[in-house]
Amino acid sequence: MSDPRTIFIEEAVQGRNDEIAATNRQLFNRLRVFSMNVMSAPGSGKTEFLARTLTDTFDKFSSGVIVGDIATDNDARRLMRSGVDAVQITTNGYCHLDAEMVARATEAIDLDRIDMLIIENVGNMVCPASFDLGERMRVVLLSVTEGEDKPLKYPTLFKVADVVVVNKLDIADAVGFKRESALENIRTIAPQATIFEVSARTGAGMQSWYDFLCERMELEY
Amino acid sequence: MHEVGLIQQVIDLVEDYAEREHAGVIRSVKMRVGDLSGAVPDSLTFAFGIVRRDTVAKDAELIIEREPVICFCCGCDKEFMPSGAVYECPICGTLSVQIMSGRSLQVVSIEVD
Repeated sequence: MSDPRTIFIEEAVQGRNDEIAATNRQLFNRLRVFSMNVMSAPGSGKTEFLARTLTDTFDKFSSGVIVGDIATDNDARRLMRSGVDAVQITTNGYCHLDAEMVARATEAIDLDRIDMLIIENVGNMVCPASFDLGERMRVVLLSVTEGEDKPLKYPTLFKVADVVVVNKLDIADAVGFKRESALENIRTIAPQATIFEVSARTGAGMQSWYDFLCERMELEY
Repeated sequence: MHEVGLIQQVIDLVEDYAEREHAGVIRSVKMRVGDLSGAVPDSLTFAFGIVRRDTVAKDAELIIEREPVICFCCGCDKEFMPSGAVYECPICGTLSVQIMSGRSLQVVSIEVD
């Protein structure tokens, strides 16, 4: 029996995902496609928010969408009604998207023809926080029906957010949403994030979000 | 968060290295797990106990080195370790947006015969 010895490895467990994410990122940069990973709990209004964004920015820039859901292609079909190419990833149980799924889905999108790629992640506030997809920007959505302390309960996700969107403002009063408390919690847990308060249904607050997107895209490319 | 899947990747990685280094038996696997990585150490240990069966790591011990969150305060030009999820500088009270460590999820080393 040989003597015990230590072999140093120092490799990331998620190295494979990270490598594919880096390849995705390089591809998007090379083709000047601004990519965003949109994450939230199920039912926060992600798809409605994105549908409205896509419809309202249709004349400003062209977009493509990748949507992840455990089952159905309802969201991709809904987003296609905004006039964009949308590719559905149906994960059949996998509760988050990973870089390889995104890489495969982008093969079905003509990246040369788009300025922005939106990746709507599976509704889940835990796992998506830990999987790099190669995106340029991370957006976390939170609806007024979810309560003010959501950021305190899911700090890992909020701490990777570049943008936090508070959605469904139109029903805030009806559900007794404590706005100041929510904003304070977001600012405390996610001081790095730019915050938008919107109603995707009525359009309230959405223009600031579009202006921000245009600015970011101009800065980037 | 998917500890079984993560441990499967760990086992694949250490099996590769063991083979490359012509190692007979893996005695221990050391991991570095950041507090912000999303992985839960107890769950990793539990998953390891199951997934290592019938592999070259079947008798190996999993050693987890926790990596705490360390932030940097630009105003004070100093690093600090926050005590919870609010990354407030203990000197000036500013909320830090620079996370220097705490996100690692790595296989550090293996001890082999």
